[in-house]
Amino acid sequence: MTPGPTSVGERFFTLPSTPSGEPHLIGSKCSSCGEVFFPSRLCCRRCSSNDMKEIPLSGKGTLYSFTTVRVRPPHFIGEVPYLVGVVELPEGERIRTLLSHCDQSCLEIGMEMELSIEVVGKTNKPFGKIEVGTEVLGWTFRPLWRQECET
Amino acid sequence: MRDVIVLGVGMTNFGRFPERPVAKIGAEAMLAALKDAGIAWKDVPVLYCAHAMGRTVDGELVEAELGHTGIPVFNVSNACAGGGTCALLAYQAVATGLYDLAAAIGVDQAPAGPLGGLFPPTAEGILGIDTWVAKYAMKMQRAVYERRYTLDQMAMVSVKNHNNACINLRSQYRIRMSSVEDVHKSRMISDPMTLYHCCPTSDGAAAIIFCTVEVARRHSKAPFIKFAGGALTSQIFIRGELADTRDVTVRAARQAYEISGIGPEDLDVVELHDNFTVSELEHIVDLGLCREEEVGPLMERGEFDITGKTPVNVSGGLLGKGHPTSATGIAQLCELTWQLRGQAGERQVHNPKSGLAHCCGGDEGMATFVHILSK
Repeated sequence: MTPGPTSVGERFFTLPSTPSGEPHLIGSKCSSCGEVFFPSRLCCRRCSSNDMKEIPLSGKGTLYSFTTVRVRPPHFIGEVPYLVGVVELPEGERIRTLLSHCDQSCLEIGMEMELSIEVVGKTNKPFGKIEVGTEVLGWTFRPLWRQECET
Repeated sequence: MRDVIVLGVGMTNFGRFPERPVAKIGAEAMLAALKDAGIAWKDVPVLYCAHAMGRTVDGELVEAELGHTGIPVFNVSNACAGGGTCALLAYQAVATGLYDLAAAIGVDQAPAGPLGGLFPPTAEGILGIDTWVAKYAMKMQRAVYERRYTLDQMAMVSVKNHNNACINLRSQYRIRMSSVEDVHKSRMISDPMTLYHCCPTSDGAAAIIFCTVEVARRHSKAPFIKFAGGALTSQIFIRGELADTRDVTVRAARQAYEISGIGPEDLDVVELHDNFTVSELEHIVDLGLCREEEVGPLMERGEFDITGKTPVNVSGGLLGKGHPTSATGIAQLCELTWQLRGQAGERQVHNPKSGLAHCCGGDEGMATFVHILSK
Protein backbone atom coordinates (compact mmCIF):
# COMPACT_ATOMS: atom_id res chain seq x y z
CA MET A 1 0.00 0.00 0.00
CA THR A 2 1.57 3.28 -1.12
CA PRO A 3 1.81 5.93 1.60
CA GLY A 4 0.13 9.35 1.14
CA PRO A 5 2.02 12.43 -0.07
CA THR A 6 5.43 12.45 1.59
CA SER A 7 7.83 15.32 2.11
CA VAL A 8 10.87 15.25 -0.19
CA GLY A 9 13.03 15.33 2.94
CA GLU A 10 12.55 15.55 6.68
CA ARG A 11 14.41 18.72 7.32
CA PHE A 12 13.23 21.14 4.62
CA PHE A 13 9.85 22.37 5.82
CA THR A 14 7.16 21.88 8.43
CA LEU A 15 3.53 21.43 7.50
CA PRO A 16 0.87 23.34 9.43
CA SER A 17 -0.45 21.49 12.47
CA THR A 18 -3.81 23.29 12.41
CA PRO A 19 -6.11 24.05 9.45
CA SER A 20 -5.46 27.78 9.75
CA GLY A 21 -1.71 27.30 10.26
CA GLU A 22 1.05 27.99 7.75
CA PRO A 23 3.89 25.84 6.48
CA HIS A 24 7.41 27.00 7.19
CA LEU A 25 10.74 26.43 5.56
CA ILE A 26 13.33 25.26 8.09
CA GLY A 27 16.52 27.28 7.99
CA SER A 28 19.68 27.56 10.03
CA LYS A 29 20.88 30.68 11.80
CA CYS A 30 24.51 30.98 12.81
CA SER A 31 24.83 31.77 16.51
CA SER A 32 28.21 33.28 15.85
CA CYS A 33 27.66 35.71 12.96
CA GLY A 34 23.88 35.70 12.53
CA GLU A 35 23.83 34.58 8.88
CA VAL A 36 20.74 32.59 7.84
CA PHE A 37 20.68 29.68 5.37
CA PHE A 38 18.25 27.38 3.62
CA PRO A 39 18.34 24.44 3.54
CA SER A 40 19.50 23.91 7.14
CA ARG A 41 23.13 23.03 7.58
CA LEU A 42 25.76 21.84 10.03
CA CYS A 43 28.10 24.78 9.75
CA CYS A 44 27.95 28.41 8.74
CA ARG A 45 28.94 29.00 5.10
CA ARG A 46 30.31 32.37 6.07
CA CYS A 47 32.29 31.84 9.29
CA SER A 48 32.42 28.01 9.60
CA SER A 49 30.95 28.03 13.09
CA ASN A 50 29.18 24.76 13.86
CA ASP A 51 26.86 26.44 16.38
CA MET A 52 23.77 26.60 14.18
CA LYS A 53 20.18 26.99 15.37
CA GLU A 54 17.22 25.70 13.39
CA ILE A 55 14.69 28.45 12.77
CA PRO A 56 11.46 28.75 10.80
CA LEU A 57 11.87 31.08 7.82
CA SER A 58 9.55 33.76 6.45
CA GLY A 59 6.88 32.39 4.18
CA LYS A 60 7.16 35.39 1.88
CA GLY A 61 9.87 36.79 -0.34
CA THR A 62 10.55 38.66 -3.56
CA LEU A 63 11.18 37.06 -6.93
CA TYR A 64 14.84 37.48 -7.87
CA SER A 65 14.76 35.51 -11.13
CA PHE A 66 12.80 32.77 -12.91
CA THR A 67 12.82 30.52 -15.95
CA THR A 68 10.62 27.94 -17.67
CA VAL A 69 12.61 24.73 -17.96
CA ARG A 70 11.73 22.81 -21.13
CA VAL A 71 14.04 19.79 -20.83
CA ARG A 72 13.74 16.99 -18.28
CA PRO A 73 16.62 16.83 -15.78
CA PRO A 74 17.63 13.23 -14.95
CA HIS A 75 16.01 12.88 -11.53
CA PHE A 76 13.06 15.25 -11.79
CA ILE A 77 9.67 13.71 -10.97
CA GLY A 78 7.36 16.49 -12.17
CA GLU A 79 5.88 17.58 -15.48
CA VAL A 80 7.92 19.37 -18.15
CA PRO A 81 7.86 22.32 -18.88
CA TYR A 82 8.01 23.67 -15.35
CA LEU A 83 9.00 26.90 -13.58
CA VAL A 84 12.06 27.41 -11.42
CA GLY A 85 12.89 30.63 -9.63
CA VAL A 86 15.10 32.23 -7.06
CA VAL A 87 13.26 33.95 -4.21
CA GLU A 88 14.95 36.39 -1.88
CA LEU A 89 13.85 36.07 1.74
CA PRO A 90 13.82 38.99 4.20
CA GLU A 91 16.55 37.18 6.17
CA GLY A 92 18.92 37.85 3.24
CA GLU A 93 19.15 34.31 1.89
CA ARG A 94 18.19 33.65 -1.71
CA ILE A 95 16.78 30.23 -2.35
CA ARG A 96 16.13 28.15 -5.44
CA THR A 97 12.56 26.94 -5.66
CA LEU A 98 9.83 25.64 -7.91
CA LEU A 99 7.22 28.24 -8.81
CA SER A 100 3.56 27.26 -8.80
CA HIS A 101 0.18 28.70 -9.76
CA CYS A 102 1.69 30.90 -12.43
CA ASP A 103 3.36 30.94 -15.80
CA GLN A 104 6.15 33.22 -16.86
CA SER A 105 3.87 35.62 -18.68
CA CYS A 106 2.63 36.99 -15.35
CA LEU A 107 5.93 36.92 -13.48
CA GLU A 108 8.19 39.92 -12.90
CA ILE A 109 11.43 40.29 -11.02
CA GLY A 110 10.64 41.97 -7.71
CA MET A 111 7.16 40.43 -7.40
CA GLU A 112 6.04 39.30 -3.94
CA MET A 113 5.80 35.55 -3.57
CA GLU A 114 4.59 33.22 -0.83
CA LEU A 115 5.51 29.68 0.17
CA SER A 116 3.21 26.91 -1.01
CA ILE A 117 3.89 23.25 -0.27
CA GLU A 118 2.72 21.23 -3.28
CA VAL A 119 2.78 17.70 -4.63
CA VAL A 120 5.54 17.87 -7.23
CA GLY A 121 5.15 14.41 -8.74
CA LYS A 122 5.45 10.69 -8.13
CA THR A 123 8.73 8.83 -7.64
CA ASN A 124 9.63 6.32 -10.35
CA LYS A 125 12.63 5.01 -8.44
CA PRO A 126 13.29 4.79 -4.70
CA PHE A 127 14.73 7.90 -3.10
CA GLY A 128 16.03 7.49 0.44
CA LYS A 129 13.16 5.99 2.40
CA ILE A 130 10.57 7.05 -0.20
CA GLU A 131 9.24 4.09 -2.18
CA VAL A 132 8.43 4.00 -5.89
CA GLY A 133 5.05 5.46 -6.78
CA THR A 134 4.87 7.86 -3.81
CA GLU A 135 3.62 11.43 -4.27
CA VAL A 136 6.32 13.80 -3.10
CA LEU A 137 5.71 17.17 -1.44
CA GLY A 138 8.16 19.94 -2.21
CA TRP A 139 8.49 23.62 -1.48
CA THR A 140 7.27 26.05 -4.13
CA PHE A 141 6.54 29.77 -4.19
CA ARG A 142 3.46 31.30 -5.78
CA PRO A 143 2.58 34.92 -6.53
CA LEU A 144 1.23 36.54 -3.36
CA TRP A 145 -1.35 38.56 -5.24
CA ARG A 146 -3.44 35.77 -6.73
CA GLN A 147 -5.47 37.90 -9.10
CA GLU A 148 -2.33 38.81 -11.08
CA CYS A 149 -1.75 35.22 -12.04
CA GLU A 150 -4.91 33.23 -12.44
CA THR A 151 -3.67 29.79 -13.52
CA MET B 1 60.57 26.27 -7.32
CA ARG B 2 62.02 25.21 -10.66
CA ASP B 3 60.89 26.50 -14.05
CA VAL B 4 58.48 24.07 -15.72
CA ILE B 5 58.30 23.62 -19.50
CA VAL B 6 55.50 22.21 -21.65
CA LEU B 7 57.23 19.30 -23.39
CA GLY B 8 54.24 17.94 -25.29
CA VAL B 9 50.50 18.26 -25.79
CA GLY B 10 47.93 16.14 -27.53
CA MET B 11 44.18 15.66 -27.74
CA THR B 12 41.56 13.58 -29.50
CA ASN B 13 38.81 15.03 -31.62
CA PHE B 14 35.85 16.03 -29.45
CA GLY B 15 32.54 14.43 -30.37
CA ARG B 16 30.30 11.51 -29.42
CA PHE B 17 31.95 8.10 -29.42
CA PRO B 18 29.72 5.99 -27.17
CA GLU B 19 31.17 2.77 -28.58
CA ARG B 20 34.78 3.63 -27.64
CA PRO B 21 36.00 2.61 -24.19
CA VAL B 22 37.12 5.58 -22.09
CA ALA B 23 40.60 4.05 -21.66
CA LYS B 24 41.13 4.04 -25.44
CA ILE B 25 40.01 7.67 -25.77
CA GLY B 26 42.44 8.64 -23.03
CA ALA B 27 45.29 6.58 -24.47
CA GLU B 28 44.83 8.22 -27.86
CA ALA B 29 45.35 11.68 -26.33
CA MET B 30 48.37 10.56 -24.31
CA LEU B 31 49.97 8.91 -27.37
CA ALA B 32 49.55 12.19 -29.25
CA ALA B 33 51.18 14.11 -26.40
CA LEU B 34 54.05 11.60 -26.12
CA LYS B 35 54.68 11.85 -29.87
CA ASP B 36 54.64 15.65 -29.64
CA ALA B 37 57.08 15.46 -26.74
CA GLY B 38 59.36 12.95 -28.45
CA ILE B 39 59.29 10.54 -25.49
CA ALA B 40 57.79 7.15 -24.73
CA TRP B 41 55.11 6.16 -22.18
CA LYS B 42 57.87 4.32 -20.25
CA ASP B 43 59.52 7.72 -19.65
CA VAL B 44 56.55 9.07 -17.65
CA PRO B 45 57.05 8.60 -13.87
CA VAL B 46 53.70 9.97 -12.63
CA LEU B 47 50.22 10.55 -14.05
CA TYR B 48 47.44 12.86 -12.88
CA CYS B 49 44.10 11.92 -14.48
CA ALA B 50 40.90 13.95 -14.37
CA HIS B 51 37.53 12.35 -15.04
CA ALA B 52 34.08 13.28 -13.80
CA MET B 53 31.40 11.02 -15.22
CA GLY B 54 30.80 8.73 -12.27
CA ARG B 55 33.49 6.11 -12.94
CA THR B 56 36.67 5.34 -11.00
CA VAL B 57 40.38 4.59 -11.60
CA ASP B 58 40.20 5.96 -15.14
CA GLY B 59 43.87 6.97 -14.88
CA GLU B 60 44.96 3.40 -14.16
CA LEU B 61 42.76 2.14 -17.02
CA VAL B 62 44.48 4.58 -19.38
CA GLU B 63 47.85 3.42 -18.05
CA ALA B 64 46.85 -0.21 -18.64
CA GLU B 65 45.91 0.66 -22.23
CA LEU B 66 49.32 2.27 -22.77
CA GLY B 67 51.24 -0.49 -21.02
CA HIS B 68 51.57 -1.21 -17.30
CA THR B 69 54.48 0.73 -15.84
CA GLY B 70 53.55 0.57 -12.16
CA ILE B 71 53.78 4.33 -11.68
CA PRO B 72 51.70 6.34 -9.18
CA VAL B 73 48.44 7.47 -10.77
CA PHE B 74 46.29 10.11 -9.10
CA ASN B 75 42.62 10.52 -10.15
CA VAL B 76 40.90 13.88 -9.77
CA SER B 77 37.21 14.70 -10.03
CA ASN B 78 36.84 18.50 -10.20
CA ALA B 79 34.15 18.69 -12.87
CA CYS B 80 35.02 21.24 -15.58
CA ALA B 81 38.10 22.30 -13.60
CA GLY B 82 39.44 18.73 -13.42
CA GLY B 83 41.83 19.01 -16.35
CA GLY B 84 43.32 22.25 -15.07
CA THR B 85 43.57 20.75 -11.59
CA CYS B 86 45.62 17.84 -12.91
CA ALA B 87 47.78 20.22 -14.96
CA LEU B 88 48.48 22.19 -11.78
CA LEU B 89 49.36 19.01 -9.88
CA ALA B 90 51.73 17.90 -12.67
CA TYR B 91 53.28 21.37 -12.72
CA GLN B 92 53.74 21.29 -8.93
CA ALA B 93 55.31 17.81 -9.11
CA VAL B 94 58.03 19.15 -11.38
CA ALA B 95 58.36 22.64 -9.88
CA THR B 96 58.94 21.29 -6.37
CA GLY B 97 61.55 18.80 -7.53
CA LEU B 98 59.56 15.62 -6.85
CA TYR B 99 59.87 14.60 -10.51
CA ASP B 100 61.72 15.87 -13.58
CA LEU B 101 58.76 15.00 -15.80
CA ALA B 102 55.03 14.60 -15.13
CA ALA B 103 51.94 13.97 -17.25
CA ALA B 104 48.36 15.15 -16.84
CA ILE B 105 45.32 13.93 -18.74
CA GLY B 106 41.62 14.70 -18.73
CA VAL B 107 39.14 12.24 -20.23
CA ASP B 108 35.36 12.02 -20.19
CA GLN B 109 32.51 10.35 -22.02
CA ALA B 110 29.14 12.00 -21.50
CA PRO B 111 25.54 10.84 -21.45
CA ALA B 112 23.19 12.78 -23.75
CA GLY B 113 21.11 15.65 -22.38
CA PRO B 114 21.65 17.91 -19.38
CA LEU B 115 24.53 16.88 -17.12
CA GLY B 116 22.46 16.05 -14.03
CA GLY B 117 23.77 12.50 -14.20
CA LEU B 118 27.09 13.76 -12.85
CA PHE B 119 25.62 13.75 -9.35
CA PRO B 120 23.40 11.19 -7.59
CA PRO B 121 19.76 12.18 -6.82
CA THR B 122 19.20 14.73 -4.08
CA ALA B 123 16.02 16.41 -2.90
CA GLU B 124 16.82 19.37 -5.15
CA GLY B 125 17.33 16.94 -8.05
CA ILE B 126 13.97 15.26 -7.43
CA LEU B 127 12.36 18.72 -7.43
CA GLY B 128 14.17 19.70 -10.61
CA ILE B 129 15.61 22.91 -9.16
CA ASP B 130 19.32 22.10 -9.38
CA THR B 131 19.55 21.77 -13.15
CA TRP B 132 22.29 23.87 -14.71
CA VAL B 133 20.11 25.00 -17.57
CA ALA B 134 17.79 26.73 -15.08
CA LYS B 135 20.69 28.28 -13.17
CA TYR B 136 22.31 29.75 -16.24
CA ALA B 137 19.01 30.78 -17.84
CA MET B 138 18.38 32.80 -14.67
CA LYS B 139 21.91 34.27 -14.89
CA MET B 140 21.08 35.39 -18.43
CA GLN B 141 17.80 36.88 -17.25
CA ARG B 142 19.50 38.82 -14.44
CA ALA B 143 22.17 40.09 -16.83
CA VAL B 144 19.46 41.50 -19.09
CA TYR B 145 17.42 42.84 -16.15
CA GLU B 146 20.48 44.57 -14.66
CA ARG B 147 21.31 45.95 -18.13
CA ARG B 148 24.74 44.35 -18.12
CA TYR B 149 24.38 42.46 -21.41
CA THR B 150 21.72 42.09 -24.10
CA LEU B 151 20.51 38.77 -25.49
CA ASP B 152 22.12 39.77 -28.80
CA GLN B 153 25.51 40.32 -27.16
CA MET B 154 25.28 36.92 -25.49
CA ALA B 155 24.28 35.34 -28.79
CA MET B 156 27.33 36.94 -30.42
CA VAL B 157 29.56 34.82 -28.18
CA SER B 158 27.96 31.73 -29.69
CA VAL B 159 28.31 33.01 -33.25
CA LYS B 160 32.00 33.82 -32.71
CA ASN B 161 32.84 30.53 -31.04
CA HIS B 162 30.88 28.34 -33.45
CA ASN B 163 32.54 30.06 -36.40
CA ASN B 164 35.95 29.63 -34.75
CA ALA B 165 35.13 25.94 -34.29
CA CYS B 166 34.56 25.66 -38.05
CA ILE B 167 38.31 26.04 -38.61
CA ASN B 168 39.30 23.68 -35.79
CA LEU B 169 39.64 20.13 -37.14
CA ARG B 170 39.13 18.67 -33.68
CA SER B 171 35.78 20.36 -33.04
CA GLN B 172 32.66 18.38 -32.25
CA TYR B 173 30.60 20.67 -34.44
CA ARG B 174 31.26 22.86 -37.48
CA ILE B 175 28.14 25.00 -37.42
CA ARG B 176 28.63 28.12 -39.45
CA MET B 177 26.47 30.97 -38.17
CA SER B 178 25.73 34.11 -40.10
CA SER B 179 24.09 36.12 -37.35
CA VAL B 180 22.62 36.13 -33.85
CA GLU B 181 19.33 35.01 -35.42
CA ASP B 182 20.85 31.55 -35.80
CA VAL B 183 21.15 31.47 -32.01
CA HIS B 184 17.76 33.02 -31.25
CA LYS B 185 15.96 30.59 -33.61
CA SER B 186 17.40 27.45 -32.05
CA ARG B 187 15.34 25.28 -29.69
CA MET B 188 14.32 26.89 -26.39
CA ILE B 189 15.88 24.99 -23.50
CA SER B 190 14.99 27.19 -20.51
CA ASP B 191 13.69 30.68 -21.18
CA PRO B 192 15.50 32.82 -22.39
CA MET B 193 18.24 30.30 -23.11
CA THR B 194 18.09 28.63 -26.50
CA LEU B 195 20.16 25.60 -27.51
CA TYR B 196 23.05 27.56 -29.02
CA HIS B 197 23.55 29.51 -25.81
CA CYS B 198 24.65 26.17 -24.28
CA CYS B 199 27.76 24.09 -24.79
CA PRO B 200 27.16 20.48 -25.79
CA THR B 201 28.08 17.40 -23.80
CA SER B 202 30.96 15.54 -25.39
CA ASP B 203 33.47 12.71 -25.36
CA GLY B 204 37.20 13.25 -25.68
CA ALA B 205 40.56 13.55 -23.98
CA ALA B 206 43.52 15.90 -23.81
CA ALA B 207 46.97 15.39 -22.33
CA ILE B 208 49.97 17.54 -21.41
CA ILE B 209 53.50 16.65 -20.39
CA PHE B 210 55.63 18.97 -18.24
CA CYS B 211 59.35 18.76 -17.57
CA THR B 212 62.38 20.68 -16.31
CA VAL B 213 64.43 22.96 -18.54
CA GLU B 214 67.23 20.32 -18.61
CA VAL B 215 64.88 17.60 -19.87
CA ALA B 216 63.34 20.00 -22.37
CA ARG B 217 66.77 20.79 -23.80
CA ARG B 218 67.34 17.08 -24.52
CA HIS B 219 64.12 16.78 -26.56
CA SER B 220 63.32 20.08 -28.18
CA LYS B 221 64.61 23.49 -29.14
CA ALA B 222 64.05 26.89 -27.60
CA PRO B 223 61.95 28.95 -27.34
CA PHE B 224 60.30 26.81 -24.69
CA ILE B 225 56.71 27.21 -23.62
CA LYS B 226 56.75 27.80 -19.87
CA PHE B 227 54.02 27.25 -17.28
CA ALA B 228 54.35 30.81 -16.00
CA GLY B 229 51.86 30.56 -13.17
CA GLY B 230 48.60 28.95 -12.14
CA ALA B 231 46.06 28.91 -9.35
CA LEU B 232 43.14 26.83 -8.14
CA THR B 233 40.42 28.37 -5.99
CA SER B 234 37.06 27.49 -4.52
CA GLN B 235 34.24 29.80 -3.44
CA ILE B 236 34.23 32.21 -0.57
CA PHE B 237 30.95 33.25 1.01
CA ILE B 238 28.97 35.89 -0.87
CA ARG B 239 25.52 36.52 0.62
CA GLY B 240 22.75 35.67 -1.81
CA GLU B 241 25.11 34.05 -4.32
CA LEU B 242 24.00 30.48 -4.76
CA ALA B 243 26.89 29.27 -6.91
CA ASP B 244 29.55 31.86 -7.53
CA THR B 245 31.56 31.66 -10.74
CA ARG B 246 32.72 35.28 -10.82
CA ASP B 247 34.54 36.10 -7.58
CA VAL B 248 36.16 32.67 -7.70
CA THR B 249 37.52 33.56 -11.17
CA VAL B 250 38.67 37.01 -10.08
CA ARG B 251 40.68 35.52 -7.21
CA ALA B 252 42.21 32.69 -9.27
CA ALA B 253 43.20 35.20 -11.95
CA ARG B 254 44.69 37.59 -9.44
CA GLN B 255 46.85 34.80 -8.00
CA ALA B 256 47.94 33.60 -11.45
CA TYR B 257 48.84 37.14 -12.55
CA GLU B 258 50.84 37.68 -9.37
CA ILE B 259 52.73 34.38 -9.56
CA SER B 260 53.51 34.72 -13.27
CA GLY B 261 54.25 38.42 -13.35
CA ILE B 262 52.05 38.58 -16.44
CA GLY B 263 48.97 40.82 -16.34
CA PRO B 264 45.70 40.76 -18.28
CA GLU B 265 46.98 43.52 -20.56
CA ASP B 266 49.92 41.26 -21.58
CA LEU B 267 47.77 38.35 -22.72
CA ASP B 268 47.68 37.60 -26.44
CA VAL B 269 45.22 34.70 -26.43
CA VAL B 270 42.62 33.51 -23.91
CA GLU B 271 40.73 30.22 -23.59
CA LEU B 272 38.03 30.63 -20.96
CA HIS B 273 35.03 28.73 -19.65
CA ASP B 274 32.19 29.46 -22.05
CA ASN B 275 29.86 26.70 -20.83
CA PHE B 276 27.06 29.15 -21.60
CA THR B 277 27.26 32.39 -23.55
CA VAL B 278 26.64 34.60 -20.51
CA SER B 279 29.70 33.02 -18.85
CA GLU B 280 32.08 34.26 -21.55
CA LEU B 281 30.97 37.87 -21.12
CA GLU B 282 31.21 37.62 -17.33
CA HIS B 283 34.60 35.93 -17.31
CA ILE B 284 36.15 38.37 -19.79
CA VAL B 285 35.44 40.98 -17.11
CA ASP B 286 36.42 38.71 -14.18
CA LEU B 287 39.80 38.03 -15.81
CA GLY B 288 40.42 41.77 -16.02
CA LEU B 289 40.38 41.95 -19.83
CA CYS B 290 37.93 44.88 -19.80
CA ARG B 291 35.35 46.55 -17.55
CA GLU B 292 31.80 45.33 -17.05
CA GLU B 293 30.20 48.16 -19.02
CA GLU B 294 32.63 47.64 -21.93
CA VAL B 295 32.33 43.92 -22.61
CA GLY B 296 29.03 43.96 -24.53
CA PRO B 297 30.03 46.81 -26.90
CA LEU B 298 33.52 45.34 -27.34
CA MET B 299 32.03 41.95 -28.23
CA GLU B 300 29.85 43.73 -30.80
CA ARG B 301 32.93 45.43 -32.30
CA GLY B 302 34.89 42.16 -32.72
CA GLU B 303 37.44 42.89 -29.99
CA PHE B 304 37.48 39.20 -29.00
CA ASP B 305 37.49 37.71 -32.52
CA ILE B 306 40.55 35.85 -33.82
CA THR B 307 41.51 39.06 -35.60
CA GLY B 308 40.58 41.23 -32.62
CA LYS B 309 42.73 42.88 -29.99
CA THR B 310 42.19 40.13 -27.37
CA PRO B 311 41.21 36.87 -29.07
CA VAL B 312 39.00 34.77 -26.78
CA ASN B 313 38.22 31.09 -27.43
CA VAL B 314 39.86 30.94 -30.86
CA SER B 315 39.64 27.14 -30.56
CA GLY B 316 35.85 27.41 -30.61
CA GLY B 317 35.60 27.19 -26.84
CA LEU B 318 33.26 24.84 -25.03
CA LEU B 319 30.36 26.16 -27.09
CA GLY B 320 31.83 25.36 -30.48
CA LYS B 321 34.56 22.80 -29.95
CA GLY B 322 32.66 20.71 -27.40
CA HIS B 323 33.11 19.97 -23.72
CA PRO B 324 34.25 16.58 -22.41
CA THR B 325 34.18 17.86 -18.86
CA SER B 326 37.58 16.81 -17.57
CA ALA B 327 39.41 17.16 -20.88
CA THR B 328 38.52 20.79 -21.52
CA GLY B 329 41.05 22.46 -19.21
CA ILE B 330 43.94 20.54 -20.78
CA ALA B 331 42.53 21.08 -24.28
CA GLN B 332 42.70 24.82 -23.52
CA LEU B 333 46.41 24.39 -22.61
CA CYS B 334 46.90 22.45 -25.87
CA GLU B 335 45.44 25.37 -27.84
CA LEU B 336 47.61 27.90 -25.99
CA THR B 337 50.70 25.77 -26.65
CA TRP B 338 49.95 25.50 -30.37
CA GLN B 339 49.29 29.24 -30.52
CA LEU B 340 52.53 30.12 -28.74
CA ARG B 341 54.52 27.75 -30.97
CA GLY B 342 52.95 29.18 -34.13
CA GLN B 343 51.35 25.79 -34.93
CA ALA B 344 47.69 26.84 -34.84
CA GLY B 345 47.21 26.93 -38.61
CA GLU B 346 44.14 28.88 -39.68
CA ARG B 347 43.41 29.75 -36.04
CA GLN B 348 46.84 31.34 -35.56
CA VAL B 349 46.85 34.58 -33.60
CA HIS B 350 49.59 37.04 -34.59
CA ASN B 351 52.85 36.44 -32.67
CA PRO B 352 51.48 35.56 -29.23
CA LYS B 353 53.85 35.60 -26.25
CA SER B 354 51.49 34.56 -23.46
CA GLY B 355 48.08 32.98 -23.06
CA LEU B 356 45.58 32.16 -20.31
CA ALA B 357 43.37 29.13 -19.68
CA HIS B 358 40.38 29.18 -17.31
CA CYS B 359 37.51 26.94 -16.23
CA CYS B 360 34.95 26.86 -13.40
CA GLY B 361 33.82 23.45 -12.24
CA GLY B 362 31.10 22.02 -10.10
CA ASP B 363 28.44 23.57 -8.00
CA GLU B 364 27.94 25.42 -4.74
CA GLY B 365 31.66 25.37 -4.17
CA MET B 366 32.96 25.93 -7.67
CA ALA B 367 36.49 24.74 -8.34
CA THR B 368 38.20 27.30 -10.59
CA PHE B 369 41.63 27.38 -12.17
CA VAL B 370 43.49 30.07 -14.07
CA HIS B 371 46.78 29.07 -15.73
CA ILE B 372 49.16 31.17 -17.78
CA LEU B 373 51.58 29.85 -20.38
CA SER B 374 54.28 32.05 -21.83
CA LYS B 375 57.10 31.98 -24.33
